[in-house]
Amino acid sequence: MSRRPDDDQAAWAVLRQERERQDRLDSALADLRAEAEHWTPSARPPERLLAACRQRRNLRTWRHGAWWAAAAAAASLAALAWLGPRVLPPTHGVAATVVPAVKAPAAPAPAQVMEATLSQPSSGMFLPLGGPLPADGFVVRVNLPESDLASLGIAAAPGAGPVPAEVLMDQDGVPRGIRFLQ
Amino acid sequence: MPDPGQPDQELLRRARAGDEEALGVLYQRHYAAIYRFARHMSGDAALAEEAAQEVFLALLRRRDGYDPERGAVAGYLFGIARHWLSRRWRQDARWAPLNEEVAAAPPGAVGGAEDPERRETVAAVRRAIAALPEHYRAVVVLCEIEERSYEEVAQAMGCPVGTVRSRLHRARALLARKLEPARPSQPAAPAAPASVLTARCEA
Repeated sequence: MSRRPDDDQAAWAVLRQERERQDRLDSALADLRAEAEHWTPSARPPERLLAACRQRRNLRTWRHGAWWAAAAAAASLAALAWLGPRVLPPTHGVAATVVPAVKAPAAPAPAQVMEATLSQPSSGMFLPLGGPLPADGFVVRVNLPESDLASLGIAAAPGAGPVPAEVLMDQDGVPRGIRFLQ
Repeated sequence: MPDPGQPDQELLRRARAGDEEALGVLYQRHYAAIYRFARHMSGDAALAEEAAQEVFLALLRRRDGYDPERGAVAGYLFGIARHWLSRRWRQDARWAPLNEEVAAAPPGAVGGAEDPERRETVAAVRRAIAALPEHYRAVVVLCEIEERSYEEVAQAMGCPVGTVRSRLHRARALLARKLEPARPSQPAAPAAPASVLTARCEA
């Protein structure tokens, strides 16, 4: 079956029309693109973004400090468990004497954490520190200086002194939650 | 000071660690594109500014949101922007209204063109884009205006490249139809055969 010349012409007309339509659209989109080039937002990040960035840095420093505090506390606990129950043999009829527990030399706690001890958690909810709270873990009690409270978004009265808090650590020793005891 | 040629991934890592300079480089590299995308999508300059800032805040806060295996940082950022805008529209119970400010673009704003006919064409295409469903609009803005690769757009849209191609094809057909000049005296042109439209899509 042969095609008639009229069919070809009609097909070409449709093609030409479609091509023109697409060209018109491309041209309009190019104009829109050119217009958008004139939209010039500020070249420097706004203060809100920079503050969020600084907060990340402070939180990271604090987490790092809390991790070392937990490590120091765990080392102390291990040393106590190892040396505490040991007793000296009785001498000269004197009853056994308990040797005072010797604390193992612990890693120096960073300035942010003034005191760190393992403790039973008190009642109350933990505030998550950038992730889900672990189902199981351990709690480290710390005294946070005022300067660190600001990094957690908490305003403290000047001269209020360190604030006792409990840090919930996961099994890897990463701080996952915090709650303030005062 | 971070090297301006440093890859996005490294800058992102440093910015998340609190490096303000790395954040500044990332911002300069991507902020304008995110802002333009949000503005084309919403037709609202203030909302676009807010969206772009929220994208960077999310970038800082999300711990493991970006996966380099899945594509470039730019595609990831466009994806955050798209989700943020969708959520915002749902909250506001509005669907990309055309802002008065955008409809009345200042003279000469269209690429420096003074031609009123050209300005009218741009305003018409802007209206036509704003009237598209969101998933078509995002593809048109990213592919045709931002000139992003299909892979980046697929990453931002969270769909396969083939879906991006088909959506772009469909969106272009819708836009072209909307931009068709009114010809009341002439009979309606016959619809283009499917083979012609497919050829454009594959180009």
